[in-house]
Amino acid sequence: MRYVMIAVAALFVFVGLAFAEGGLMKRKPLPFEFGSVVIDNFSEKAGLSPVVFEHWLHRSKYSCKVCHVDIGFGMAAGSTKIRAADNGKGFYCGSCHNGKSKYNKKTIFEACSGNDSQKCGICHSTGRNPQREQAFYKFAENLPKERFGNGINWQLAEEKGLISPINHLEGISIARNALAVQKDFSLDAKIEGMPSIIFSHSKHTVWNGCELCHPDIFLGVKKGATKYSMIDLFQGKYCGFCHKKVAFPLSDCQRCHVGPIEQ
Amino acid sequence: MNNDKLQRVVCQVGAAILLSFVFIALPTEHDTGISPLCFVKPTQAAEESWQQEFNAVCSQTNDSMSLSREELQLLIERCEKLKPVIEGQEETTRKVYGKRLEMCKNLLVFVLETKK
Repeated sequence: MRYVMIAVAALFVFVGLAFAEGGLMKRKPLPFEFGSVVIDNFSEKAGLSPVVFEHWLHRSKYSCKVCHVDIGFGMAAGSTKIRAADNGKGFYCGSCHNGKSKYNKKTIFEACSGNDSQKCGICHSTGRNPQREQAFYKFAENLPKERFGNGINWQLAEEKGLISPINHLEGISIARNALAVQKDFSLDAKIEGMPSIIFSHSKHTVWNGCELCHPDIFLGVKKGATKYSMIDLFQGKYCGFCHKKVAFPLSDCQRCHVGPIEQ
Repeated sequence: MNNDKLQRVVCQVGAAILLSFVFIALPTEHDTGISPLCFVKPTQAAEESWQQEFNAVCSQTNDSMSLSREELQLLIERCEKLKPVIEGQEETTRKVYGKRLEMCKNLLVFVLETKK
């Protein structure tokens, strides 16, 4: 009886630990993994590995607006529910991955055509892919460094002309007038001694346009209309929508808190 | 009606029937199912028309802050008219353009609200 009691108690401890696992800190993604999205709405059901979408590779070539406004990809992983047939019709991934579009004079491979099964593995590639890792580090070696995220200062890379993300896809993007430059504004930090935040509209609109943030992510247009805290951001809301997963992460305090210190 | 006249009518009707069979039997285009005899493809023409309207309306999102309330209201109404047209498209077009239109309209509504 005593042994049974001990066994039951041990079982409770193990089960408790297993549940507590969910509250433990997640492994920090490596620079080449940061921003990667695993998409598995239909892949495994179709007998394929889930798709690993590498943000670093795509953001080095195209602006956020091209994919998330013009092509229509959702902002949350798996929310778009892309089907192979959609790509085959020239939508979503098929907007560029159609075997005809070119980048830097090179033809972009065709996705989900069904003609070449070896190509499926380029995207349906869950698991460690050493070639991709090498490709990332080779790409990143001459770019300005950053402490967090991909380890790349993307903004500086563009300012220096080291990357030039395309902002218009012929036949898909709508020709728009250039955005009027919005003024930067300051947001007070809620913690004493923490520098205030300087929000740059121009830095954000250059890659995103207006409709990516307003009104879905930020409902209020007037300063201070949308109330949020760092907890909200760490939950992936507001700035955390991008700055938790793809853009430089929230742990990089000094990128936003650059204003004067509140007394 | 004499025999000659009757024969001529029968021949004309026969020729018309034969000709109609030839037209029906001509291969249609695989993608659209439309006979190549159609001078203008109606679905393509309609598609171009709604896409042009979509482009015309949603190209103004970058200028939305400088538009008047009346102009914004008019654009929103044009978005609302486009919605059922897009909903009538095939699945993927509906999904892609439905989302794009929603983002575009939501921004215009949002800017209009801030101007009130």
